[in-house]
Amino acid sequence: MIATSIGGVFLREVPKHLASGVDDGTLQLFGSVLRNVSTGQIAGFLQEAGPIAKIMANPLLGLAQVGLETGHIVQGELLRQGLGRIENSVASLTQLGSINLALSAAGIGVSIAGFAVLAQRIGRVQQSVDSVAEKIDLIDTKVDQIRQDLINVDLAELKALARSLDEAWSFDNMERAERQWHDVAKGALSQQSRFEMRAEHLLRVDPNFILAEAMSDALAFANSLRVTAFAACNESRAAHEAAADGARTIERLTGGIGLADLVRSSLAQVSAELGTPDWESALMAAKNEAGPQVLRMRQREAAIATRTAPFVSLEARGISPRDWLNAARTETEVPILLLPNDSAA
Amino acid sequence: MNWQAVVRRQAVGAWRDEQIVQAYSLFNATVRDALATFEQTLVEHARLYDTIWDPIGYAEPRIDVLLRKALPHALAGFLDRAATQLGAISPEFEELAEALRQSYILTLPQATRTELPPAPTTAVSDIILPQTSPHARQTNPSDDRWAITKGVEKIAGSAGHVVKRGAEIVQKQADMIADTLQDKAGLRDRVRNAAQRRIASHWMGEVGDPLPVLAQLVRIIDTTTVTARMTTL
Repeated sequence: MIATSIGGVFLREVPKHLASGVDDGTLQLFGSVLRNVSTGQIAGFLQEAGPIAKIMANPLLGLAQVGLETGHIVQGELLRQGLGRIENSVASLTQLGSINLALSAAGIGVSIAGFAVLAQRIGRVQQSVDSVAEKIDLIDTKVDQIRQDLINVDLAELKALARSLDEAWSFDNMERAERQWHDVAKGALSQQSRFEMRAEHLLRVDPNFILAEAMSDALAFANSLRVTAFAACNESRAAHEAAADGARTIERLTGGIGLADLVRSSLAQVSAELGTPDWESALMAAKNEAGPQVLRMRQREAAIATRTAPFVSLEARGISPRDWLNAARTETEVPILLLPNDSAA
Repeated sequence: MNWQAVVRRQAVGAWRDEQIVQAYSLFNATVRDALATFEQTLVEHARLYDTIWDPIGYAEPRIDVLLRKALPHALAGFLDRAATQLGAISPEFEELAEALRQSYILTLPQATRTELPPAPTTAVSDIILPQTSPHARQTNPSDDRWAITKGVEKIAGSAGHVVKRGAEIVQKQADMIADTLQDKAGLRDRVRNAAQRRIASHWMGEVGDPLPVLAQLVRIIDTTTVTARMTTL
């Protein structure tokens, strides 16, 4: 079915040819872009929409770190709740491998899905911070920028910015709305910088990189607010720049960290003798343990890098960023919309 | 932001992860084989002198020889595959992949005491057989001591008759005694530990001067990764 609110350019279901492309590995999701693995050609763009709030509010997903089985849990739960349409969409999301990304702090596409979603997302970041708070205090209590109370203040500020962003959509006066969105963009830049500083510090002191995860999530969230605010003002270029800035920042922080680094760090703690089956087992265990963490880092980088990727395609069809955001915000049926890339057809 | 470049940089990062983990696995497997051979030699040939006084001198050259023999071929194949996989990510990395295939340099350790004389089969191999004393012939036959000496000679003579078979028995018993002593006193463990330390410090370690071989390989992979990522900026 085609969404009609902005001229029928969005799809609510993944077309069969794209679904089979994902199945056979021809197509892969990179951030919010569905691309052909061998040619690099873009098949479509994903964009989160209003009903994703229902998924994020699910108590089964209260964990800060969503696991690989998340899609199946959500599917089953939504089925029990009788939300068949959303359940089908979740099936598509799971198939596309995008469910974790959709639920993460970085989000999928531009974060537009209303304060309920943004609050859920910031709540997840808060949970993530809380889960490592004790360790943060242990490693460096004297460094102000990673003090738990200051982090909480900044997370509260991010939440307020998210509320302001959402609130402005209800203004009758668009000039006032735009002023508020500009204020949000400015405030979000400040928060992005503060969490960048924390992430940088924690990456230096924690060889397992776990402590910096929550800071990176907060950074990604702040950046998403900036991009959304500029897009809501129809400031495409500023939105692109903000997204590019976020992408460069997050890649500078975590782009060079790979599975090999986490494995090496784990192996340093292993007592098994070299050249033994035990050591090989420890290697494999370290690899398996590091996999999900590295996947989250790569997905975060990809999400930020591709956030404004569909803008060119949308503008070529005469759709402004604001109209696009509004359509996704007010969507009621599916949590993710698909914008097929017609030039690839 | 060119997100397509991010795709390639992530692919290069994934390539690095894969190569480093495989390198770890390759080294572990090669070291495991080398240790099995080393263990066999240790049980069969190590002398008490080696295990008590010079475990390092015994272990290091042997470990180095075993790994110098096994690793170069395995590493050449490993780097060839790594280069092929890098080139497959994007044509822009083909030149770099070729450089990786052709021009890597790895310095393999070689313990200074490299002469490995064949070890004797047992620590008591020089068996001194009883002989008839020339001094006894000069003694007075009436002397009681002569009779005793004569008796000893007789016994010695008997031993001489069975010397060949006796030597074998003595040899086996000596081997068993040496084995037991070396195992129970943990003497062979001293050599095993020396071998482990050599592997950790010169072959599979993370740091050291000279840099362990695995760390050299990881450095090559890291340098290639950084160069590849730079070309996408």
